[in-house]
Amino acid sequence: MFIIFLLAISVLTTGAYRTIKHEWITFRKGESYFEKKEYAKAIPFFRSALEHGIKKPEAVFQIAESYYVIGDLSSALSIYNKIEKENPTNTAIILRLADIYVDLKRFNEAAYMYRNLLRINPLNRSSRIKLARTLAWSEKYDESILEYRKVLGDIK
Amino acid sequence: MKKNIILSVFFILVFFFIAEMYVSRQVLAEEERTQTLKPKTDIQEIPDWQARWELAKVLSYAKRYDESLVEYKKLIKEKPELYQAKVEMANVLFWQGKRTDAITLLEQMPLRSIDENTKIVMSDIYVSQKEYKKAEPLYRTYLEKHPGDQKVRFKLAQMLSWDKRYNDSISEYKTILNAIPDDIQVRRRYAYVLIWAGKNKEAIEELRKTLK
Repeated sequence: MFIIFLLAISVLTTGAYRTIKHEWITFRKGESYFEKKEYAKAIPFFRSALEHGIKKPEAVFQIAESYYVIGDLSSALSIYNKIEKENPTNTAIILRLADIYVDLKRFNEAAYMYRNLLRINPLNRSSRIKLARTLAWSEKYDESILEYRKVLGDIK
Repeated sequence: MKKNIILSVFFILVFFFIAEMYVSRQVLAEEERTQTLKPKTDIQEIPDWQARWELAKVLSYAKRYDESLVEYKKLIKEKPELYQAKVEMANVLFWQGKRTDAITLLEQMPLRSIDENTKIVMSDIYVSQKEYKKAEPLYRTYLEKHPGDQKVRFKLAQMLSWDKRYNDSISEYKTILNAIPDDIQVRRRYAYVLIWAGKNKEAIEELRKTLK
């Protein structure tokens, strides 16, 4: 009975801690704004939660995504770069990074990211087309043509 | 003793029930959050015809016109309703020097589906073929929308002079020189038209201005 009591207490205190502790309240507010798609409002709450020592990877993701959605690409880029270093095989993150580089017209870096994606999954058609487009935008036409031909199965 | 055991079992069951509910809710909430962690990316599948269209364009940028035309032909065979692709193909033919092929292709299309710049290409081809009557309305329609485009007005002025419609040509040259009075090349051409029109005195005056 005593063990059960202790377990119940621990579950309840964890719940209470997350509900009452300041950084958790801040984090939840950020989440609430994020879910309502009020990204600009969500950012300061996530930031504050992280500054107060909260260790939630999703808070970092959500800040990066919020910056991306509101068009603050350089802030989004800097955070996504940190995330990518910790998650080097997360294809969604690499893809987002590549897309940000394209939006910033930093085509060489974008191409590098798309190539990374293709190293992880060589059959990813969408990444290869994006690589081909990026190469064309940076006037590397011959390389771009090669990638398009791979997409169309003209060459392997 | 027996009562105590029953009570203990009851409490254990209640505890596990509550714990299970709590954990399930946490897992669900975590799953929902994880969904938002994945950046919303463009996962729309790009069809082959669109990739081929892009390839045809890039080949033309690389001045690999023959290969570009092969891709345009494949694309148009698959998507005959893609007027924009036909216009681009006509432009490639034009850049390759195949003016007749280009104009033949463009004439098969409704005029409204052809963009303004390509209409100017069409006019230029007509002029090179001395089909001035076909070129003139295209230039004029364009100039109605872009009256300040002196480059196109100059093409029209030249064409009118070659068609021996000197007064119409002179009128266009005057408009151009009002806008860009310091352009010596245009003024010289204007002077030649004045000569062809028999207005030698005016021509000399204009040529003098080009020597200042």
